[in-house]
Amino acid sequence: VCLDDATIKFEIWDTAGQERYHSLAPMYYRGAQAAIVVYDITNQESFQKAKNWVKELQRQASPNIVMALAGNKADVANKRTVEYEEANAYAEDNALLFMETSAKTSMNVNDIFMAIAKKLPIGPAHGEPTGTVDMNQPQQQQKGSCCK
Amino acid sequence: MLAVLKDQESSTAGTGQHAPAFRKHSMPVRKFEVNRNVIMPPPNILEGYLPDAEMDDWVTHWLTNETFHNFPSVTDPTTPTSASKVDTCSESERAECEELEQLREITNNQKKKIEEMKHEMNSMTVHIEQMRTRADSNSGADRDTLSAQNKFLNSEILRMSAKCEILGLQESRGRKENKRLLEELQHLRSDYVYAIQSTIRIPIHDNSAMDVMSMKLLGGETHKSRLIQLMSEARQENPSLPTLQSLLQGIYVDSFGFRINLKDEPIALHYMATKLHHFYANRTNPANEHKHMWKQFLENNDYIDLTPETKSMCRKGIPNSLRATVWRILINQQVEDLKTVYGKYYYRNLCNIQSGEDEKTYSNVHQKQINLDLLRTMPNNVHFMSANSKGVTQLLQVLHAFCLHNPKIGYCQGMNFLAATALLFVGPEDAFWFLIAITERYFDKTYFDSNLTGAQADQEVLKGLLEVQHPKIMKHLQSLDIDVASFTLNWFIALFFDAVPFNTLLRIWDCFLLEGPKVLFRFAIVLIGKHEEEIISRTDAIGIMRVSKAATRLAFDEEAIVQVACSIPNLPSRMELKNIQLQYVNLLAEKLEKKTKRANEFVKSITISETNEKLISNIFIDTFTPSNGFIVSGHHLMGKIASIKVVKNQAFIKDIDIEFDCRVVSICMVRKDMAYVSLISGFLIAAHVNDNEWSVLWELKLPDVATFLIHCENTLFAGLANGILTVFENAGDQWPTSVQMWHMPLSSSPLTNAVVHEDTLVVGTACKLITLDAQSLTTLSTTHVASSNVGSGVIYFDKITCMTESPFGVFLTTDHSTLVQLWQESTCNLLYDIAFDHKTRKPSLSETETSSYVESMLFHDNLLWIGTSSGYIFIYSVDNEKGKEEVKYKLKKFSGEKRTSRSSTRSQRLGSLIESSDERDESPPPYIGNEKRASRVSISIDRETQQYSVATFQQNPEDVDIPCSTSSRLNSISSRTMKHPMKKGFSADSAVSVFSSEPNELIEKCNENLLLRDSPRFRENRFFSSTNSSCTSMEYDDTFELYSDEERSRRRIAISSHKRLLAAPIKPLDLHRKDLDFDYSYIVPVPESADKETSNDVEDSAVYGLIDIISVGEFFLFCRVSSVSLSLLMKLKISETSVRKIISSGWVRVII
Repeated sequence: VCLDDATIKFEIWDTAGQERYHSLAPMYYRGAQAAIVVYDITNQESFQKAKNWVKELQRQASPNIVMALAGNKADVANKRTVEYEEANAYAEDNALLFMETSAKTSMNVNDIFMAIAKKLPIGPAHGEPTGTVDMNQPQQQQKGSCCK
Repeated sequence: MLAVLKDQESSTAGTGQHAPAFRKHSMPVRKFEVNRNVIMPPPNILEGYLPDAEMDDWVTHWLTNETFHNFPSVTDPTTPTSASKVDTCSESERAECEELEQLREITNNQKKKIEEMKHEMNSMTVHIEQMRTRADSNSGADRDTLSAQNKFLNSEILRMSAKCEILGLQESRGRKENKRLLEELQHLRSDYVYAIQSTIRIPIHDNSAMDVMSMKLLGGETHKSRLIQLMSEARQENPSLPTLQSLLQGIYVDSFGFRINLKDEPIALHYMATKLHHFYANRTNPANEHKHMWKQFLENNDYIDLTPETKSMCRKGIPNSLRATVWRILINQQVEDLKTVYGKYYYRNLCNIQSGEDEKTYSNVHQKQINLDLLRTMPNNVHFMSANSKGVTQLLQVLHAFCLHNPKIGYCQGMNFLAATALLFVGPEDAFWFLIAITERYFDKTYFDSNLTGAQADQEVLKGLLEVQHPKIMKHLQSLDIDVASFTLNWFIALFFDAVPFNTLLRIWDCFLLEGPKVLFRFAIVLIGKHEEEIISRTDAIGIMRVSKAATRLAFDEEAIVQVACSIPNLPSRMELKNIQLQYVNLLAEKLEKKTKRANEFVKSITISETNEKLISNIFIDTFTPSNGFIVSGHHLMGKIASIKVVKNQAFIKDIDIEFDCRVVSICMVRKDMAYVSLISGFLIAAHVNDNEWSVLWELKLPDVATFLIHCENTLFAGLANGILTVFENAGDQWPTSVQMWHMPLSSSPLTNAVVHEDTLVVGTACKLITLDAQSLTTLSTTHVASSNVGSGVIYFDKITCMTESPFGVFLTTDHSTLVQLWQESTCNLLYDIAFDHKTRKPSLSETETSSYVESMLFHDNLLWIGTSSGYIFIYSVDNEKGKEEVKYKLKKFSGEKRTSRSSTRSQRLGSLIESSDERDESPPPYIGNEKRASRVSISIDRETQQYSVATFQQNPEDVDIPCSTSSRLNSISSRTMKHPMKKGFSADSAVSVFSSEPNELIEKCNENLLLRDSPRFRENRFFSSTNSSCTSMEYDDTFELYSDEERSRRRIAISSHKRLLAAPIKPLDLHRKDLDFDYSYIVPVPESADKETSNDVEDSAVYGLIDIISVGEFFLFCRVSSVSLSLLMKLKISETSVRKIISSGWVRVII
């Protein structure tokens, strides 16, 4: 992502999302500078899980991690069970970035990365974060990361 | 002669050409033949031509004599027949006839002579011939000419034959050279494509993504056209090879079914080079021999033992055409015994299972995940592309069957890759057995268990090996805090699938299937070690991740990799590896066991109420009777309240005869004789207080746990853990006929603290302060006291840990911070870091204490008391004059302008509704979509009949019947169960409902739970809910436990200090202390025998509890300190554990 005159690189990792891989998650998000916790707006349970992820990251991840909450599947908003206001309020309380996205139509996908990029500290030239994506989970958890 | 010779020469050359094979051997023979030819052919030619010099002379002489007689009868000698004689007779004169007769006679004589001579000559020729046959040199001197000729001819012939020989040699040499050149050309081609193949790089330094490969070929179009040419040549032999076009268009499908779609031309060229490389390699002799060897081996063996021979054969790679066969054999021989146990048709049986316990597990647990993973297993393979593909159907079948076979392990992500790769070569049944072989033979059952214990253990083993093999890399990685397992774990679980190029993968599998898991270590070591320099040159985590990922993705050179992998020195043996692995497995299992044990014990301790330690968790001071306070003790199953009375230098504790079924969270006195108690089960209890006699007036279930209770002028505020502020009006009424509750959603996070400041109520939730008008309850402001502002050094996700009210504003501090903030309205008036003494310009905390943070504070009488997590108390005096504040900041960034004040729009207060004491009164207000808006619940109680009615005013039209429902105590449970189906979006799990904030549920809870607490039946009901809530919180604690060792160690310190304090609680502090007289039965420390790690929550409370009490005694000393402007008055270490709470009562009683 290019932001003003800085280029922010996102390294996104693809990890297994199954529950039994959960205990390994800290290994992947350790040192990540940013995280996107993704839930499914048509699935209330995924929102609850996303909250747990937020909690875990708050506790375990690097203290100045930039976290974003993404309500995915915005393209099927007619089936939604998680209200925008509810998630937004939660995000606000926890100082998370929040957007409803759609991976299908790529709505807000770039924007959320852009928003994260803006919030990242302009670190040393060799900022080195790591990130992961759980592609294999309905409520995916992504941790993008970036460096200048 | 020359002509003849020339003829001979050309004919020799000609024969030589036609029969090159004979040439060499037949040469001497031919020489003589040629000789004879030269001599013999002129039978009609005069003898003078005979080569013998002697003969020559004689013939010349004879001819001169003869000329006279011969001339007239020139024709005669030529035709010495009778007919000619007759003719001559008739024509000539008779006289002449006689002469003629004489002449004839002479002639005849001569002829005879000639005849004789001829004979002689012939015999001589024979003789000569004989001589010649003997040796050329034997020719007599008299036959000089002949012999000269002969010599010449012979030498000529020799020369020719020598020439021929040389030519022949040259030719064969040329052929050899040709062959060699061809071979070399082949080599060069092979090496050329190999070189092209190796030019691929993953640009690690520029901005492209991590796994985008790039290739730069210098030399313009040279390589492209060359590769295209080579490919078209190769395609004549093997039409299944790709063309550049087919690759770029994405229509090429390789022999394994992978559709290759390469948008980038250089990458496509690289792919072609790779393909050509394989094509060439397969045509070489060694490859053919190797294949032949395999064929022979398979003809002679139907079982592949692990011998050095088979090992080397597998390491060289199984030929593509035989791979399916060999793999099948290798798989089946692993599971042979299992097959005999389960039967021949086991797989088919499993496929046809329709119901049963395991099937249920499958459909509940694994089906969803498998279905999700099916299409993303090999999306680029034609066999696995769509849901209808054969491969996908088979994959599903195999995974399903495996889940049924081994429900304990079930489906583990990664198996899909294993099964799919196997399916590319073998049938579904063999793929199924392959999974079994993987889980039960190659690896043990822990490998894919619920924690991947085995796989994790292998990572530890690998790390150990890497320490030996590549100590530099490991040191480097350790210094950067990078866990190798973050990229190697997948290598082991999916056997390098998707990590290395497919051909390399096959080679690894060839070795693995025969030799087992040890080869995985070998390859992992090689793949990491291959790029040692690059790894070490990188100092950032991302760079290293990239390098390591690139190293694997670029591992095209399978031959070299296998070779290096198989010759790593100093590897432990298979058995040793297994033992090390086992040790780690046990270690991990032990850890896990501890964890589960802890969790289980926690759950057990919830269910078994025998563990009855009463542990102090909190202390509250009654504002109405300043010297009185309440100490709350208990655990998850029991809550007790004791009153503490502080009389000068002494504290007394008295038991209050009241017990709850769960922990008490907060107590608030609203009147001198009335207290509200909130329990962790979510109940709010109103109690009548008469000295130490408590009686429960009524109780009510709130939507969530009230984390604090605070009252302000007859109004009770309860901050709930789900972010709702519940307001009770007329809280002082002892026997209310109706209770009015207002639920105001303020936040989605728990409301943690609140203070009444002047006319406002300041509520702390997560990282913001919400200021409400205490009367109208309108939100005045929302202030973020901590935010995620970039680069400010403020820790994100700060939560307010404690707040205290002062005339200057609200002091607060956030999680794990040493920064004290003073806020007034939405301005931050003071930021004070207690870690730094601003007066002496020296850090107030020593180096070792830098990790401590503010845990509690109290403002009292111009003194600010701050308790830290390391057990210190700081006392600051606060100057009244604002201008003199030493550090004063106006932090605009905290003013919350970015964030619209959502709360004010979301939580409107509804107009007050008059509540009748009867049932069915109000109609529900119009439905408003926002579920989180404020709602009001009114409860009417008829004391005499023990009936109550509940009315709620909120949105859902479907709840029409609920607001007005009246239920007696006895039917409340049924009403609850009936209403379950109405909750949308929530499971029927009561744990959820306890924490649910949905207003429609809220009513139910009111319905079912507003009851007097002495009914055993409802105690049970409530007990249930409290258990659930504990469980939920335990879940968090458990997660916490999983990851935070630091936290645990802190707790251990707590335990040890606690022990020490037991022995000599005060001495280390060297403070004067009056003996405290309190009832020990209520302050029971954790028994020494108890498992220290059973429940950290419990322990913590125990320690804090003890300190609470001890501190009561100590702190009488403090109140005499006079105020000094804004400086640290005193710093006291009072305990090893954190100071959790400071409270004042009356003329300053500080309790920690």
